[in-house]
Amino acid sequence: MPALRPAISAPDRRALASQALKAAVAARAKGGQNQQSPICIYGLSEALGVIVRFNDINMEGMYEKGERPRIHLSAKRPLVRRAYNCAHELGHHIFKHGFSIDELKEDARESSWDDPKEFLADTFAGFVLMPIVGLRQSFSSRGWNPATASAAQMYIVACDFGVGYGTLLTHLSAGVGLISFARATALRKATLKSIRTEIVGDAILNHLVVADSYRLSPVLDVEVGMRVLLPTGVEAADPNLKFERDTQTGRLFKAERQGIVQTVTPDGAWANFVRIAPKEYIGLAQYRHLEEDSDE
Amino acid sequence: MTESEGNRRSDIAGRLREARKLAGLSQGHVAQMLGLHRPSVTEIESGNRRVSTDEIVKLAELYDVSVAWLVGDAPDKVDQSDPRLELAARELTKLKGDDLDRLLKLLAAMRTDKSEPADGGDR
Repeated sequence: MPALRPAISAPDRRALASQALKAAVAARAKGGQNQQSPICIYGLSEALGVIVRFNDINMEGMYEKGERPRIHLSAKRPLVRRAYNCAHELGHHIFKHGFSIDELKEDARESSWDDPKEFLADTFAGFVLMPIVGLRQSFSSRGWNPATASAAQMYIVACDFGVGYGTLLTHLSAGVGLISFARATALRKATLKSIRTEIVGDAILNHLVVADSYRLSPVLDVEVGMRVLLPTGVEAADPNLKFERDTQTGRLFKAERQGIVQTVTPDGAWANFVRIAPKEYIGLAQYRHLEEDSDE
Repeated sequence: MTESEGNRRSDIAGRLREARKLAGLSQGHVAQMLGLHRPSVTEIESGNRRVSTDEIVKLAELYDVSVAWLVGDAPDKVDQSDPRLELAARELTKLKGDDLDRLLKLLAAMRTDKSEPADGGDR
């Protein structure tokens, strides 16, 4: 039986994390992004010359190195998971990882969880999606403290950055140290259903994206069937985003059809673009928000 | 048109339809993007209308697939031992045989060259 590769030591992890942070800062700068705002990871990948495709294969993601580099993502994963997987695969691109299928098989036989390349790509994904300056801003603008934030507050910050609730908790504790591991563990006990219920007042079965008046990003990505909670008074310019009802915390909409919908308050003080992709969209990322073809 | 020409046109039509769907586009989208009439795209994908070399190149670019694959001059599936295939895939070994097979077919269709010649020449 082959010996397992030894786990990465703590100093090695710190060195890799530092390398990942520097690469994330450089990738954002090269892609024309600032160092604090939430980003569209597909747009950043394309800006860095990487084509992003969604397929219906039961996998997480894959990076294909070459003259026309590509990231392949499974549409079978939840929307926030797809974004994280894309950031992870972009990390492989940045670090120029690429192996033959035989090498990958051989490597996987030894170990898969303590692979420095995977740790590097994962850490890069956290830093590029959730820069610490942006995270601090997201909490402080709402008058929240990361160390004491509730599960619902964490959920709203996760929505700000287009990542999953658990992914945010991992990054806050293991990535940037804004919360303790114990706090992250305690917050993980809250179910997504209970958090959504707390935010909108009753159970929302489908995924809910919350965009309050403090939202940092001017765009919000969803797919058909998802619910969106927008600030009180907001109106959608297009029936592709259908108003459902008012709640105590905002207006609830449902993404009905693909396209890009402008949402704005009557006084124009708050505006956002809701970009709706088909449910479990298969295709090139750049085409995912094209209006539906009525003749098809 | 001979029978073999008809078969070849039908094969190309089938791959054009498959490539469009893999790109996430409808026939209407393609018509709009290339300045064609919608029925022209339908006819091309039915094998009822000849598709010019220029159109093939444009469609390949739009769909991010190789011209060689579209015209049937490239293998339907990537060879696992091809040294040009370089991947980072943490869960490749966990893929079921059928999923790996579909992935290798998908990779075979993709363009690999920034300036791919119209007559193909990739994998």
